Amino acid sequence: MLFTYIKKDFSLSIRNIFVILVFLFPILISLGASGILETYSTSPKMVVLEKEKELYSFPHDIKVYVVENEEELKKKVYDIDTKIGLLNQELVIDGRESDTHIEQAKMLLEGKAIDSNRVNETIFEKVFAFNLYGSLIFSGIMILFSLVEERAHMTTELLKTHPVHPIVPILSKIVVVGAITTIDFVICSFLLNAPLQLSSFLVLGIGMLLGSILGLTLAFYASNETQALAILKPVSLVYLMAIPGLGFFVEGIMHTIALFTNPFYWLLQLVHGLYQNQLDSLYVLLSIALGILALTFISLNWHRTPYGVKKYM
Amino acid sequence: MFKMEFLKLVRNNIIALIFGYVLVMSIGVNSLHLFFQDVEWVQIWTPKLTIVYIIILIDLLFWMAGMQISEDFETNMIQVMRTSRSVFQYFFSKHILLILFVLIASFLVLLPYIASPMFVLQFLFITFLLSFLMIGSGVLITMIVKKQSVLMIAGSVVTGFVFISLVRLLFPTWIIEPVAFNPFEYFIAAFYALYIPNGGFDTFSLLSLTILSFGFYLFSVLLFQQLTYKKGFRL
Repeated sequence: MLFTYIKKDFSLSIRNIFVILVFLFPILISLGASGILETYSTSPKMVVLEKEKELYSFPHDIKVYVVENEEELKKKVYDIDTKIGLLNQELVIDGRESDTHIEQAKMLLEGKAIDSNRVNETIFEKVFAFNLYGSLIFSGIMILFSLVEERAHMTTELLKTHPVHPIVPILSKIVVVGAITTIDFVICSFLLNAPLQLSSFLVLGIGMLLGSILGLTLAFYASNETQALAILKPVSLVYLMAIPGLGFFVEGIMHTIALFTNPFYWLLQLVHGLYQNQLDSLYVLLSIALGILALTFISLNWHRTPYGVKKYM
Repeated sequence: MFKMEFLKLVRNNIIALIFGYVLVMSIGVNSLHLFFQDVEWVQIWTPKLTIVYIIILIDLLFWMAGMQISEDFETNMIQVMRTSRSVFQYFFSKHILLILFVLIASFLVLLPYIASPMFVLQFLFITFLLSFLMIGSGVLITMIVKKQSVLMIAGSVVTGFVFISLVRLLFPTWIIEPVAFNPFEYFIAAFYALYIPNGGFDTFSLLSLTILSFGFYLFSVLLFQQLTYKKGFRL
């Protein structure tokens, strides 16, 4: 019976434009991730005047903008990113730069070398890990779409009359999504130089577990695909990308905040662990425990959602 | 009308989530500001966090403005409206509601700055302008694509533009050039310029942003009236 459902869900998912987009997205992003080699920098960008260009010598890995006049220089400095201007041997800043960047600019002005680590192996590993993590969280989004599609077309009512256990339709969706995610994950691992080993599949499993919980939870709120997309915007930007991303790249207090508030940050750390060949068993245990807890909660309350069969006392 | 639109908005499941987002973010930003204001990290990141919060909220407005119309289209309410009301009457309560919502939500994160009313007013004014621009583009897009799901995909392109500017804001040392003709670039710069100590430099002209957003809004609404509203929402 399960196999019939899997066949149905498979043909539904290859017909759905969202699922195809969601499948292609991580692969495209992984291909684009190599761009980080060009854009990454930890030192501030400098702005100098054309006529003063000869006065300073910068290391070759510092990005320098040469402008015509003072007006242009100020405009560049007051941009939203960190650019520091040099004018008559003085720094031009807008007051929002961090102290470290100002310090670095002062050292550049004095002709000292700064430890600008443009080509930093660890940060690239982190960016690649973040991308690979992206291919995992899409599993949740696909489950969300396939559930919501049923709800929008009212076929959930039909499912309730089928002579199978209510878990079978959900399980078949998870199997199909799992297959798609595995293909995505393997392709992305290959593109992002991740070592493919046995523990990769443990991480894949945990990713699927957390993704399924996310999909099942959000499917309660969205009643059609449009609403699903609308919910996904803040959820994916803030909860799946911004908080884990800041914790991962900025570290410090952000790491602590993400660690205590966001299970997807644990997943991100596990994916990073793949690159370093050491999985932190604490994250594994925490994710599995949370997964079991959440699945129990969801299955106990499933009859209250539009997908479950109502219980009448 | 206003009450009806409010009920329609609140009835939507997603709005509950958006209210939750507003609540969590405003509590977070306010408490960061109150309890850790001497930490350098907080001083640098609170403005950025506030801007990211507002921009994502306004990005959702695009969908909300479009959704109101396509919902009316799907329930045939638009036929009732277009035979009894002008296009401005039709949009008035819808858009006032959205703008009020965004203004209240952005005011909630500005509570620590209440002592400097000029700052709060400027911030709210830029929020107001950007909301107008987004609502205008929501109306414009709904004219072309009437299906809600396609509307959302179009909205993701807008999110892409937002994202490029936000990455520049969040990772300021990375070498990323701004995308030309990206309106969010100017609005985010306008928001961020408010945080410059000692006045600052006029990298943007508030007047030109005002003209841009009001002009765009009027253009979209009039185009909507000419092409869609008059002809019974059929192109």
